Amino acid sequence: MKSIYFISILLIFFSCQKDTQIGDGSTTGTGGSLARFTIVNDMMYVVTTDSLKTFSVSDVLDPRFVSGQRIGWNEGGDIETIFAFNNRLFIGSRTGMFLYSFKSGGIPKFEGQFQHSWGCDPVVANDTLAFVTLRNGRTCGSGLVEANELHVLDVRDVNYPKLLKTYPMTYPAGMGLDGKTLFVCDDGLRIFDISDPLSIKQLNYLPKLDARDVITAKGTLMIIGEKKLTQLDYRDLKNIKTISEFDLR
Amino acid sequence: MNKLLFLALMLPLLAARCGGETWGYDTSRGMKPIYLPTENYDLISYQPMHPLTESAKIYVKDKLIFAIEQGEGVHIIDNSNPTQPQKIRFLRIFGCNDIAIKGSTMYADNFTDLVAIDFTKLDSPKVVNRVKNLYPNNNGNAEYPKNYNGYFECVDAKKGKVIGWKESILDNPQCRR
Repeated sequence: MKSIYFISILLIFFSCQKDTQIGDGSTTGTGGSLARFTIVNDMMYVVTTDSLKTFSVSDVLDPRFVSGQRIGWNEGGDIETIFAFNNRLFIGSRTGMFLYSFKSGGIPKFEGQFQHSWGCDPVVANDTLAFVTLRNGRTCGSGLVEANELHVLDVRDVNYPKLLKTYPMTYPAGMGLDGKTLFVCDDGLRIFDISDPLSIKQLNYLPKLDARDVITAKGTLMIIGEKKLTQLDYRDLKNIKTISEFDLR
Repeated sequence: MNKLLFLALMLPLLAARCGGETWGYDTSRGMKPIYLPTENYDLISYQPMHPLTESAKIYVKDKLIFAIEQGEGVHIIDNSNPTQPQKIRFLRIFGCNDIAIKGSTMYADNFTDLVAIDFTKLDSPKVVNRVKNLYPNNNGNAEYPKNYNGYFECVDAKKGKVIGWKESILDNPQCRR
């Protein structure tokens, strides 16, 4: 009798596995804050080390190159990340953040920039604020100046992003933003309430978590680290539950 | 005597520590060269699964999670049951830095090209389009990673032409900038 149960469970398991699909329709997936690719509607934006490339993906099977724009001034380039919010692109480089705006189907237009000291710096943003982590030492930065910080910028005026406040961090990397909650991979995972950008509050800190970048997805946080893929239920920010920890090795 | 022995043992440790700390460098992480493969770079196919030992990027689409191993390809993880994710495939895309997915089409960079891969059938992805020579090979022939200060794995000319660099865990690196 037991073996029948076992076999039926196995059967269900394998039948489920077969159904796994990449998904139909025209929905797009989600990348982390360290991404170099982003798709907004019918356009895909890709950053290389020194340029922003725009593709039309209105016919998904036939991507068309639309434009290539040079970004920054560093020989060889230092562009690292791209993040899209509404009609803006936030591009992170080792020397600053570049802001572009775009209209449906159009070529992105350079709007403004914010320069900072040398370091790795992903960006996440909403309509009014951008969050930039600056990581130094090790594989980023000059190694001469230690700056491990979270910058909060006012981006209401797209031409003049303004630094509101700098918060000290340990060794920050990727971030995720969900409404008033900011997740920062920083020697573990830090969770902030950003209601007041001039005084963000740490709601929770999970110091032992292996975290390099995060994706927020309807109450589930997917975290990739050096060795693990961790999924957390963050619907109750004070009581975060582990869904799974998956060893990538 | 014991104290002397202790000191003698500690001195090299101290020296090593100072050497590293002064520059704020960590020798365990740094940049590693990516070499041009001996086979054709544009062959994209499932390969046997292997442990992911480098730090990866993450991309999520529906029930699947993609862990992008820089320069090597994409580990596909079935997340139908989030309490028990499972690695199901490894798609080798040479020189891949990132991906994005719309519908069931994956876009990825493949060395200097952008490819569109049709994933309608997960078991048999097909490259349906290739936009060639979009990405200039910025780091081509470089002896060191550009715009980078720190430790890196020295280039071994015997391994071939360097086409890029990736962040990696290093084993006793001998090169630094």
